[in-house]
Amino acid sequence: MNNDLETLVRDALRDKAITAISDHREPPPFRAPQPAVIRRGWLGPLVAAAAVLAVVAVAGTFTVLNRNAGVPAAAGSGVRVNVLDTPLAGLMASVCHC
Amino acid sequence: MTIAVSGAEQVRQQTARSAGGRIDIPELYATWWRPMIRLAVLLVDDVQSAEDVVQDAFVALHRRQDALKNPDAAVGYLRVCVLNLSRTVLRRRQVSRRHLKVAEPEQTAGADAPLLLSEEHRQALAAVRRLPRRQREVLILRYWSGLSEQEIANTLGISTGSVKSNASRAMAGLRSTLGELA
Repeated sequence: MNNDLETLVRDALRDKAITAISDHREPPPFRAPQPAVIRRGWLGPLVAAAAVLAVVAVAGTFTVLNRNAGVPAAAGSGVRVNVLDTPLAGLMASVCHC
Repeated sequence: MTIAVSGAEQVRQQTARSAGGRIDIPELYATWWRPMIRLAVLLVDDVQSAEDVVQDAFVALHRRQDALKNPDAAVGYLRVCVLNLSRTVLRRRQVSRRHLKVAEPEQTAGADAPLLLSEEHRQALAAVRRLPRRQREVLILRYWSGLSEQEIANTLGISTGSVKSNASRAMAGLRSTLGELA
């Protein structure tokens, strides 16, 4: 009984599969997916981003130095230092032409 | 053992295996397209969906060909892909039926298909379709693909005990359904 049922299921599945796709049917040509294009021009954007960061850093530093101009060098020392007179500020001023 | 694989396909399978080393995707495609389509047809009940499933499975295999060195492992991977993609098709079909009331094809082949199948086989197939998904998959892999319990367990990602219990329940369900019809 069990063997009969197994045979029936096996034959039914085989009939259905072969009826759906006959032995004469050839597979369509397989088109392999094209690999994703790897962008090798990554150096340009990296340099541009680094340049933007450098400009922002210089401008930010300069702004902070300007804001702190005239602030006492150390609490309680009584000595006031004009930060714009420091060599670094002079260099930045010459670079930025301001 | 693979049922209903022609002699020419068996020769090509041996060629693909003896080649060794890197998987030859075009060779695998030529050899396994038809068996995989037939497996997918049994799972999704629709030739067009089955072709899409098998195409996607081969694309997935192509993407992973460097990771799979053994052609046998590649075939196993293909089979798992076909099963998973078939489940996705069935899930989408259920959703579309539920929400859009779209009529989906019940039969796999053309209008002459019912004429080509005997009444007994049609009843058996209808009973198989009514089984729960897991039981249906176990039956198809066992009686169509001819896989061992261990291979079925590996393909479905379940234990061999679960394969046995699902097969047993499936046969009991079929016996009950076909007994009622008899």
